[in-house]
Amino acid sequence: MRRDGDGNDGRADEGQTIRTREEFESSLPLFVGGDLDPADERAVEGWLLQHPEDRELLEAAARARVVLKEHGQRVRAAEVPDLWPGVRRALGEVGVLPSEPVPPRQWNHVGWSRGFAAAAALALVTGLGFMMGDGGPTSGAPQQPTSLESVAGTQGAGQVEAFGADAEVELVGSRRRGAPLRRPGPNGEHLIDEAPLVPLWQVLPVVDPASGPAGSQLASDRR
Amino acid sequence: MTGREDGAGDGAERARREAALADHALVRRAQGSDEEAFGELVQRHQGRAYRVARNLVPSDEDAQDIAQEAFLRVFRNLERFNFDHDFTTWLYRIVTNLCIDFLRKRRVAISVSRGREGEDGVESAIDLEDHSEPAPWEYAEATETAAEVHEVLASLAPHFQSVLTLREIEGLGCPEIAEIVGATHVTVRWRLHRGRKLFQEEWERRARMRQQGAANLIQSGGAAEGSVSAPTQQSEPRTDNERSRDEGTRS
Repeated sequence: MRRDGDGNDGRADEGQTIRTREEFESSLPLFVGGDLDPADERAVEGWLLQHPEDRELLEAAARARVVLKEHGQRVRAAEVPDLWPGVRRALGEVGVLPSEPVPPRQWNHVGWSRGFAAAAALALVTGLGFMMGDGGPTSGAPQQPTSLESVAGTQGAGQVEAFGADAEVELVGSRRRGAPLRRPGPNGEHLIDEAPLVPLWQVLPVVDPASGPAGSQLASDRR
Repeated sequence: MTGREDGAGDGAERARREAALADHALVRRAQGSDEEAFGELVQRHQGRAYRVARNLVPSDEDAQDIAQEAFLRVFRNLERFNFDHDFTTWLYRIVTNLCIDFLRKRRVAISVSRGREGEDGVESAIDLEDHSEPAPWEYAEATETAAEVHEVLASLAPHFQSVLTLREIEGLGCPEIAEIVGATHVTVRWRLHRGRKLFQEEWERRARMRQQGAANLIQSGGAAEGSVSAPTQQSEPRTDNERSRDEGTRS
């Protein structure tokens, strides 16, 4: 077996046969670990066929290799300590990270339910705005009489205004606090143009002033 | 090799590449000061770092310290990471270098302390064993074997020890080991060859010691077990492990 230029390769050269026992022995450590090239493996196997008495050497090398292999399996199966807390603490101590770790984002039930509630309220208000516009259900069938007080619960709190074609009106209990809403024309069906911006409990009775006295939500109607 | 083996090899290689890409993605995130990404990198690779360290240094605590220090160095040098290489190769290199440094310093410390005790100053590779550890025969059988394997590995020069650990414990191939230890492929094969040979010689020497110790024990009627074993250990001739230290240092 020829050695490489550094004189430090303990294996059979490719395509060569093993000529001496020393060459055979020097090939065994790599042979038992499956680290020889195929040609070198064949050279070792060829030697063993010609020198069966050297199988003992192979078996001794294989036993040591099994010890190492089993040790590796045990080590891989062993429990590993969690290093992250120590690493994190050390990084905090030297100042490359904040001393307190950043808490992970919480996606809890409260957050989700609040989000859903907000989305549902927005959808309801938007839908109501649509219903109050053209083609909404309020433009056809007569409305059931609705008591202003029963809905708003603000009897006596409202202000009284003139109810005319171009009169400025104000909602009972409005939180707009005096800011007028304008009715757009004598036969207009949009009593309040800004309905989506008004809280739901204030808007509900404001349906259609022509549908009847009880349907009128304006204090001026009741007068 | 059969077609099935080819398929299994391809699958393993594909999984390795995917893992390497996932590591690179985590490194990029960590470079952007993403602490969570760096934490995930540590969690993914702490087993590798600890195992290698544990097989190269004498105690669990030392191994844990070295593995932790390796991750600190990774963090400090994240910006210099070369994406042409696997993250694991980089980590293994840092861990093995830290361990070899540790062993060298420890060797010097042991040598100095023994010199002060009036020893003859002759140091062999076997002297790296930590004699403060309990003797192997004090362990249960499985633990005893593990401890003895560890002692034999520790008796080798660090260069042989690291190559053997990366090959036998981590199952890495010679080309990857060469990249990790910064040596040529031929040198790694040589170290692997010498390391296995030295391990076998030392393991067999210890087996002979055990047999001889047991025989002496039977002859002496089971009395004074420790006093029988100790002289036997002294009288057993050394293998060429003593020469391995010089070889390991040169290579």
